[in-house]
Amino acid sequence: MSALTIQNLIACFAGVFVGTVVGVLPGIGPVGATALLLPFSFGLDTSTSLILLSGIFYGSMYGGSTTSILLNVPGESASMVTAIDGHEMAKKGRAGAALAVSAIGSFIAGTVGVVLLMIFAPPLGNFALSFGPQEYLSIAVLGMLLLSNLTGGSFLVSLGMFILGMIITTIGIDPISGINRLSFDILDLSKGIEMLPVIMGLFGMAEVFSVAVEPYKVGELIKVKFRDLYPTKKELKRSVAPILRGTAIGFPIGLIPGPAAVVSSLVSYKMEKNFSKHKEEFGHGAIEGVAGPESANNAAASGTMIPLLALGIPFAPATAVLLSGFMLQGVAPGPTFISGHADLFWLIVASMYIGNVMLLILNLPLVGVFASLTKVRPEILMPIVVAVMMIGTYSVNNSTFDLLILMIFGVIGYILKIVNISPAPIIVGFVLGNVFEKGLRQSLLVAGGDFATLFMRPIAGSMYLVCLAVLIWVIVGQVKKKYKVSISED
Amino acid sequence: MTLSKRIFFVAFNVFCIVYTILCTQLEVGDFSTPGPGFVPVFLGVVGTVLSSCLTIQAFRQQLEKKEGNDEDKTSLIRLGLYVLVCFAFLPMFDFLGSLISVFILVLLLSKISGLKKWWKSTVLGLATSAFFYCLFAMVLQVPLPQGLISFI
Repeated sequence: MSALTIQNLIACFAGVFVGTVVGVLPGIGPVGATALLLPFSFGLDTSTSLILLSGIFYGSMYGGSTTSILLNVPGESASMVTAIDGHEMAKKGRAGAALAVSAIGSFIAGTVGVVLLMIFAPPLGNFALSFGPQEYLSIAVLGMLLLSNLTGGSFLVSLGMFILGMIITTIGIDPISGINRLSFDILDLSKGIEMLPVIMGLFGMAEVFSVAVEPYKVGELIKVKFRDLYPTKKELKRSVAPILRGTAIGFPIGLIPGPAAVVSSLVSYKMEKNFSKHKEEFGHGAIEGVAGPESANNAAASGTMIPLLALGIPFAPATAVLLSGFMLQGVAPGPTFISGHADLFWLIVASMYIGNVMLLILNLPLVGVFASLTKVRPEILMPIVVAVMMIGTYSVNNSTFDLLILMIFGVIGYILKIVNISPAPIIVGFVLGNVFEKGLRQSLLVAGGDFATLFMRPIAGSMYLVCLAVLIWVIVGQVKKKYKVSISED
Repeated sequence: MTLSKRIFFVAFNVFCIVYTILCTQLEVGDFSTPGPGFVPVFLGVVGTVLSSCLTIQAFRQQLEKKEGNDEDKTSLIRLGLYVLVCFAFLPMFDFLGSLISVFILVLLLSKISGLKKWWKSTVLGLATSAFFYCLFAMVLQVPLPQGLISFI
C-alpha cells in the first residue's frame, strides 16, 4: 500500500514523465537518461528515490519510440527497429495508430514482465543464497562471453572492450587485501573510479561531442490529433499475436547479459516478418513491425531487473546505472535484498505496475508535447545537458575528480563512436570486474589453488559448459564466414 | 578498415602493454594465495594478446580512403573548443563557484554550438545556472561550491 502514498505516486509520475522527456531526446537513451537524472534522487528517502529511478528507467525506454514514429529519429537504439515501420505508418496518416499500438504493447509487455519478475525473482534470490564465489565467477565468465557475442560487432573487439572495463576496476584499493593498486599516490585514484562518471562520459558526454561535430537536423514533425490515436479493429487484431510473441521473446532475452532491449527488438522484428501473412508490408508500414519490437523491448526491460534485484549483478548498462542509484541510497540488491528488504522489493514491483499505467495514460494524450521537444535546437539543448551532467556528477561525491573522469571518458566514448565500437561492453566489464576478481581469488583461496574444483560445483560447472558451447558456436561461426568468403572469391 | 580504427587498436595495444608492465610491480602471489596483482596481470596479459590480434588484423586489412573537406575542419574546431571549455570548467567550478561557472559554461558552449545572438546565450546561461542551483542546492540539498560568492 505504501506505493500509493502521495509522495511515492508523485515520484513515480515525475520519474516516468522526466524519463520520457529525456528518452525523447535523440541519442541520450535510457542509459544516458537514467545516469543524467540519477542525482535528482538525492535528498529523497530510500523508497521514494528507488521508485523515481525505476520510473525514469521505464519512461526513457518509452520516450525513444515516440520520436522513432513521428520523426524517424530513434530516441534510443532499441527504438530504431520501431522507426522502420512506425514512421512509414506515420507518413500514411496512421501515426496515431502506431503510437497507440506501441503504448498498448509496451503496457501489456511491461505488465506481464512485472508479473514474471514477481514470480521468478524471489525464488532466484533464495536460490542465489547458495551461490559461492565459484558461482559468481562462472556468471562473470558467462556474462563476458555472451555479451561479447551479442553486441553485433566483432567478438574480439567486444571482448577487448569488456577487458578494458574490468581493467578500470583494478585501479584503487584491492577489495581483498586492502592494498593500493595503480593509484600512483594520488588520493582520488586510491578510492577507485566511480561508475556513474564513466557511464555519463561514455554515453552522455560522447553524444554531446558527437552533436557538436554534426548537429542533428530534425525533420518535419508529423502532427497527431487526439482523435486519431485509436487504431482500427483490423490493426488491433493484427497486433495481438505480435504483442504476445514480443513479450515471450523479450523477457528471457532480458535475463542474458548484453544490450537486451536492442537484441530483443531485432529478434522480434525478424520473427514477425517470418510469421506475418503480410510480409510485403514490412518496411512500408506493417503494424506488426511496431507491436512486436516495442513489446519485446519493454518485456526485456522487466527481464533485466531480475539479475539486478535477485543476484545484484546488472547485465545491461541501464541496470548498471540503477545499481549505482541503489547503492547510493544504501541499498545493495542481491540474494539477501528480496528476503532482507522485502518491503523495498515489493514497493519497486508495485511502482513498476503503477509506472506502466502512468506511461499508458500520460504518453498518448501528451505525445505531441513530447515529440515537440525534439524541435529544441541542439545549440540550446546540448549546453544544458552538459551542465546537468557536470553538476550531477559532482553531486555524487562532491568531487571535481569525478568531473575529470567524466571528461576523460567522454573523449574515450567519442573516439569509440568514430571507430564504430559500442561502449556497452566497457560498462558491463566494469560491473562484472569486481565480481570476477572476488570470485576468482576467493575460489582459489578456498580450493587451495586447485583449479579443477572451480568446475566441480554443479551450478558453476553447468555455466562453464554453456561458456564452452558459446565459444564453439563463435569459432564455428567464424570458420563458416571465412569459408563462405573464400568460396565467393573463387 | 579506417585509419582511425587502426590507430585506436594500436593505442589500445600500447595501453595494455604498459598496464601489464605496471601490474607486474604488484604482488602476484600464486594459485593458492593470489595476491593483489594476480587478476590485474591476468587481465593485462589477456588484453595485450587480444589487442595485438586486433592490431595485426587491422594492418592486414586495406585502408578506406576518406577525403576531408572544409566542413570537417570547422566541425573539428568546434569539437576542440567544446572539449577545451569543458575541461576548463573543472578548475573554474571550485574557484568561481557553481553559479558563475555554470553560467560561463552554458554561455560559451551555446556560442560554440552556433547560437548567434549574445543575449540569447546570456539568458540561457543565467536561466540554466539559476535553475540548477535552486534545484540542487536548495531543493535536493546537495552542497555545491560557492566559490567567489562565499566572499560576498
